[in-house]
Amino acid sequence: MSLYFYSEHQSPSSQELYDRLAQLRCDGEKLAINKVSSFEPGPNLRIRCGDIVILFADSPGELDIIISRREMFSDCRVILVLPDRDKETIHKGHVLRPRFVDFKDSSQQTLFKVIQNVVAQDKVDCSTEHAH
Amino acid sequence: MADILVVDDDKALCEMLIEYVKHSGHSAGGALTLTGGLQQADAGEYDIVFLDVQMPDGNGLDYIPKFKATPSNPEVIIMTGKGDPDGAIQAISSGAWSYIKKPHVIRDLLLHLTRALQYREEKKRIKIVPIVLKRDNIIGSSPQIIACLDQVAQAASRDASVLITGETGTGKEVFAQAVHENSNRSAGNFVIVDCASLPENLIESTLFGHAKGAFTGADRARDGLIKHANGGTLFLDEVGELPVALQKRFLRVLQEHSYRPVGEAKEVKSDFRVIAATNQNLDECIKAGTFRNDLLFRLQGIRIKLPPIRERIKDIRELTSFYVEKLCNRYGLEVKGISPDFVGALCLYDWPGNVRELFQTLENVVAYAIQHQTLFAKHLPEHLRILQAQSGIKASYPDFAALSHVKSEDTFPAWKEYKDDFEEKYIQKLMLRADGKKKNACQISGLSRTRLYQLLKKYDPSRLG
Repeated sequence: MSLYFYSEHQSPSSQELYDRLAQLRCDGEKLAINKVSSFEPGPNLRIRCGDIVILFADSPGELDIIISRREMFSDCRVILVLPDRDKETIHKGHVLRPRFVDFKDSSQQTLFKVIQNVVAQDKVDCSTEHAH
Repeated sequence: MADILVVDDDKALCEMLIEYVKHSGHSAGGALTLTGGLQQADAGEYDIVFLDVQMPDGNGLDYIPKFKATPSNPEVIIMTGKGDPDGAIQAISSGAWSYIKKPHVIRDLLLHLTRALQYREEKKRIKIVPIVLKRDNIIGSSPQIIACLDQVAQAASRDASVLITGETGTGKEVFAQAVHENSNRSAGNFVIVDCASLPENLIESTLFGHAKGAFTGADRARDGLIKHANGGTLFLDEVGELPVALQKRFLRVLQEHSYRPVGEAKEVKSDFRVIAATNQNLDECIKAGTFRNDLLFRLQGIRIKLPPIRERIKDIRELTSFYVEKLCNRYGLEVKGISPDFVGALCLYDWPGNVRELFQTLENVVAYAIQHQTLFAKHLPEHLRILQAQSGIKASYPDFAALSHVKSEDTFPAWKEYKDDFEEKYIQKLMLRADGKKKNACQISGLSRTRLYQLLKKYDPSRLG
C-alpha cells in the first residue's frame, strides 16, 4: 500500500501541505509520499488498488481536471482537499467518492489526524518512494 | 412433479426417503456424500435438496451456499439428528428453506416439501419486469450476484435505510453506490463516512459540523457530512466502528431528521438516506455492548448480504476480464489475452481478501507480464501456481464411497488399503505433473528425495531407472 500526493500545478498551498505531510511518521519511519503531477495513462502509472491518494485541488479548474481523470484512481482511497466551500464545489468533490474532505483554507489539523489514522490502519509502505 | 435430491450418508434412510418422495409423485435421486451430492446437483435440475448435516466429507451446513449456487438454485431443507439453535441459525442465514429433525423427518417431510414446491411454483409465475440497472463496477452473472442486484433494485426504488454486510473486499461500497445511482436521490451527493478512519474525538464534528470556536482548532464554522448529504445518500462505512456514545446521537438524527452542529444552539434539518456497511457481525457487537440494538434495527430497513468470491467462482472469469482490460487501458497497453489455465488457477484459490485481493493480484500480474500479449498461469504468484499443481493431483483423489474395492457400504475399508490406493494414484499423477523429473516432483509435492524414491520403488519402480 502506497501514499500518493497529487497536485496539478504544485502551488504554494499544495507545497505547504506536502511539506507538512512529509513530517508525518509511519512506525517511527519518515513517511514516503509519492508526488504525482499527472494521472495520464501510461506504463509509469504505478498507482494500485487500495493505495491512498491525497488530491489537492487548488482551484475549481484543477478540480475539474482531477475529476476528468478519476478512472485512474477509482479503486484507491481518496482524501480530497477542495479549493472552496461552494455548494457546487462540494457536490463535484463528492463525485470522487473521497474518504475525507477538507478545504484549502482550513488549518489541516483534522486532515493530518485522519491521514495518520489511515496510514496506521492500512500499513502504508514507508520504505518506497518514487516520483512521477 | 418435482425433482428431489436426498443427500445423506445413512444409506437405508436415503433409500427410504427416495422411495417416499417417489411415492408422492416426484422423481428423486440420492447421494451418500456431499461431494457426490454436489456433482449430481450441478448436473441435474433439482427443485429441492434434502441435506444431512453430519456427513463423512464435511458439514452439510457449510455446503448450503454451494447447493444453492448450482444451476437450478434448489431450495435446501436441512435434516439433522441433533437439532441445535445455532445450527438452525446458520442454516437459515445460509439460505436454507427449513430445518427438520431426523426422528420426525418422515412425518414432517411432506409438509416442508409441499410448501417449498409451492413457493417455487409461485416464484416461476411472477413476471420479472426487466429493470435497466446502473451497475458500473458490479461485475458478474452468478445467481448470487444477480440476487444481490435484485436487492439493489428493490432498495433503489424505496427510501428505506440499507445495511450491506459481507467480508472485506466483497464490494460493499460499490453496491452502496449502485443503490444511490439507481435511486431518485442520484442527483444528490453520495457522501462517504469512513467510521474506521476518523479519529474518535473528531467523528462528531465531522458528521454534524461545528460552529467557529466550538473546540480548540475550530478556527471557522464548518458544515458536517450530514449537511453535505442533504437530498442525497450518507454512506457509513464500517458502521460497527462508530463510538457507542455517537450511535445514540446518530439514532436520534435518523428518527427526527434533524441535528445540532457542535457548538450551535439551533437545530438543522437534513433529508438524507442512510446506507451502512460492515464486515462485523453486529449481533455479536450488540452482545458485546459495542453496538446499539435500536440503531441496528433502524439501519437494516433492507439488508443486503454480499457473497464472498469463493461462493461465486463462476464470476472470476468476468471479473478477471474486466479488470485486466481496465489495467491495460490505465497503463496504455493493448488489452491482453487471458488463457484458460490462468483463469483456472484463479478459480482454485479461496480469495480471503475477495475481489480486492483478486484485483491486487491482477495488478501485480499485469505489471510482471507487461511485455506479454497473453496472460498464462505461469505469470501468477507462486502460491497460486502451487495450488493449481496440487489440484491436478487432488482431482484423482478417490471418492470415499466410490472406492473400487469397497463391495458394499457394510464394508469399511482398512486404513492401510485405502492409504495405499491413494498413495499409488498420487505418485502416478505427481510424476506426470513433474514430466517424470524427480527434482520437479520433490518441489511440487514437498517430499524429500529419499521419501520419493521409497514411494517410486513401491508403486512405480520403472521410474527408478
